[in-house]
Amino acid sequence: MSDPYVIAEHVSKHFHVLSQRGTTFRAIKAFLKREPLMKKLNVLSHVSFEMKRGEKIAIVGKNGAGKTTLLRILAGIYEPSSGEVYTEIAPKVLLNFWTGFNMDLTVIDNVYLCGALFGGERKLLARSLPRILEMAELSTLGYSPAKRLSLGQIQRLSLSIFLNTPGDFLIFDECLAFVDKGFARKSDAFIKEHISDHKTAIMASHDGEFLKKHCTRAIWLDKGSIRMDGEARRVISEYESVVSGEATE
Amino acid sequence: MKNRPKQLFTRANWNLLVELIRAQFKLIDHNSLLGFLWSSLGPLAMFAVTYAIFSVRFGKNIAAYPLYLLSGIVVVNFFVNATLQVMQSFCAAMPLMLNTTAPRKIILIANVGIVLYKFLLELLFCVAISFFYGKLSLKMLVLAIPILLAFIAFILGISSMLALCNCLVRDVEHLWTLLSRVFFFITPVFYELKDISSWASKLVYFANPLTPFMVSLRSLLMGSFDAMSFGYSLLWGVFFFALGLGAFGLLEDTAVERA
Repeated sequence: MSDPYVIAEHVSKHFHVLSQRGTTFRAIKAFLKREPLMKKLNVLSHVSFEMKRGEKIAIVGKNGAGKTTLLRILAGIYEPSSGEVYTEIAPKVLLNFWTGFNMDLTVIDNVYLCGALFGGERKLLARSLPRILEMAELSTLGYSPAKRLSLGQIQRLSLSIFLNTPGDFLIFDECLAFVDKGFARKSDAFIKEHISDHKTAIMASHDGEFLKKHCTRAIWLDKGSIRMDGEARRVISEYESVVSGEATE
Repeated sequence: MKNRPKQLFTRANWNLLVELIRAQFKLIDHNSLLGFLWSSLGPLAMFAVTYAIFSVRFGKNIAAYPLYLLSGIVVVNFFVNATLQVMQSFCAAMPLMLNTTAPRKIILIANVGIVLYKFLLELLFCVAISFFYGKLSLKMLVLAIPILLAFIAFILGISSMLALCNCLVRDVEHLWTLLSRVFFFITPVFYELKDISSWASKLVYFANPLTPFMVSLRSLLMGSFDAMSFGYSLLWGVFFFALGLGAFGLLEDTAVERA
């Protein structure tokens, strides 16, 4: 049995948020009355799991369940408030598809800029450029400013750069939310090819079918805690039936 | 356990730094016909006004007063622009820091890069004037390298602390914008230290860390070497860099989460 690739041990995360609308007057009043201006918001609570090399884990849960926070902690963007996280290598992360884009630069310039954010070097990106543009269906728009692209086109480009840069450990969040069905099918095939056996991936999405197709295991987060952890199809189906049950109530 | 990679200057991070600076270069004076000339107009206009006002009062005892004045303006301008640029851009780069694993220090350094480029061009102009006055020597140019490195370290240190504070309380930006204007007067840009009272000159020299950098760089351009200012510059550079780096390491997570 291989050693764990990712270990999360009792990971908790809280943020301090304003308990009321923050104005200077209220801040002074709170200071004078010694009332707290901020309150603690618990987002994750004692999340523990281990992950083996090559495993593909889906993170499911309702909005605000703590999926993105968990992904950010695993990526090293946030530090946990308590608990420990270990990852064998630094992950390649796609949490928000428009981040890193500079809308005044051309599509090709953005390929180099975003590619660098995913750890890709210029030489390698230059070689992959035709493939990146072709996959994003933007081969004819290489020298157009990114601001001329639609939201869906930007998402295609972002995903295309992400999938065409090297990385053995991938973390991504809601990467197919705005794309059309044609591109979703193409990405599906490409993701299947890209996250082959030796790659490790953690992905969060509200698209159960997508997750069932690509993941072997799923973790269901509910109000910041793990509600269920197990075989992907079983966990996702259970999650979907609970969510649809709540919706009909 | 810190999950974030500790090594800053990896090949991937270096590549990212280059790409971030390259992107800023491409956007410099974007959609402008005169491009870089616009950003040079600021120091030139400042030079023209201060020269017209102060050359009679302070300039008569200083050889090559235009060079003296311009080098002072260029140094203060770099300090003010770099700190403001880093402070504003760091907070603006929050989505990048929340959604990518890009090291925050790289984002900080990249923002100094573009202002540094303009500073070096302006400094080159000062070098040309120094050559014109017959004061330039190779030895002086070599001695300028450690001062420049210390100056950049000093600016990185101050900027990182300001960027952190600005993420926590946005008033810092407004306060610094106001305060930074004062540096033109509390640093010997258009006057010499001997022109002001003894206590004031001590205050300007020892309490304002920008002064030694300006004095040492300017003396090299004027063909002399000020050993004390040279030493002070290196000392301030190392001190503020260490302080800024330490503060950044301690507070970056809090600043990013609360911004």
